Amino acid sequence: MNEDQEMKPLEIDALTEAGNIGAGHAATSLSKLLREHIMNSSTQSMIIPIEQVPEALGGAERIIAGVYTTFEGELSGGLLMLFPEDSTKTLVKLLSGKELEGYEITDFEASLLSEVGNICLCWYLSAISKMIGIDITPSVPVAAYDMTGAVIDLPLIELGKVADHAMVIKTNFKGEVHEIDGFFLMLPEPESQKMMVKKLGVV
Amino acid sequence: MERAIHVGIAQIRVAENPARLICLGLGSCVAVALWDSSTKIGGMAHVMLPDSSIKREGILHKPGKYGDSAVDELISEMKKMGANHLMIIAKIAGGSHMFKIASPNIGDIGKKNVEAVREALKKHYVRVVAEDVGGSSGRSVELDTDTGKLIIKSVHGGSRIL
Repeated sequence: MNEDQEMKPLEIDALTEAGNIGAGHAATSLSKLLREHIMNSSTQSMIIPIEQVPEALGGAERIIAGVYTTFEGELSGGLLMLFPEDSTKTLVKLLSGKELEGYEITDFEASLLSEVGNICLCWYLSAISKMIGIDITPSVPVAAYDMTGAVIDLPLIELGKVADHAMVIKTNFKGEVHEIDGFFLMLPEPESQKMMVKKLGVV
Repeated sequence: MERAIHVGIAQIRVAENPARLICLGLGSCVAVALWDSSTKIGGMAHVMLPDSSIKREGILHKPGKYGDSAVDELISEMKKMGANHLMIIAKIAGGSHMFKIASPNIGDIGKKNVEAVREALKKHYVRVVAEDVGGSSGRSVELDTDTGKLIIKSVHGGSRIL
């Protein structure tokens, strides 16, 4: 049995709560950016084998935009903000005034998505950092728009270096007016899961 | 009806004809498709990382995860099924650099995966007859065990046949 499969329900609850708080702050920042209320629905946490993650996100071939950042230091792992195809189009339209054509994103559109991600992901991480009282240093986020499997395989590869199972903390969000929905996906490394649980005072 | 067999991340599958071996949504991962024309036995691996030497303590041994061990295991499984080692050819696809803006924290793992797979195949005297690697797009691939053809699809439409 792998160690990271042995989390207790209480520990999973604590990580789920951390995901809620992180995503809550990120959604507030996205609301300000888009001048539209963005709501979070509940967070789901699951521990699944790495190969099952694309299916858990709606299938490996579904088109998605992903903004990805890694964080290192006392806490390490990956954090993604993911938008389905329609929401990506809405977002690009709202922010640039131009329609997103086809599946090739320009450097400008990639940097636009990265910037949205940058703001939201930093808010997410800073909320978690405050909550557990340790510094988290994120990297510069990067963006891709392609099949789900292709967008998330790099984050899974990074995690795969140190784990066989992924602790997936997934929070959906939704816009009130426009079709902007998507989710945050936090992939902490096994050591960081333990650290988070400990700092959250569950054990 | 031929069977469609999905090969998930870090998995290895071998099959007798008729079958289609499929990897969906490859980014930096690499699909290794092997085929023996004499027996029509096919095999596919969905490789995540270049080299099993980076494996850390306490991680399950999963040969399909690493380029070197995936090729070893794939050839051994195909031989167990009755494939003729000398007749096996390889086609590889994947190894993209998915994220548009370069970040110093993210190396080009796709390229390293491709190199590791090529090296491992060479060690087993398996010839790479065709490849579609690199670039910045995702791919889905499908090996037809009847013909040995590898169909490659990307979101930019159309498909290539190797």
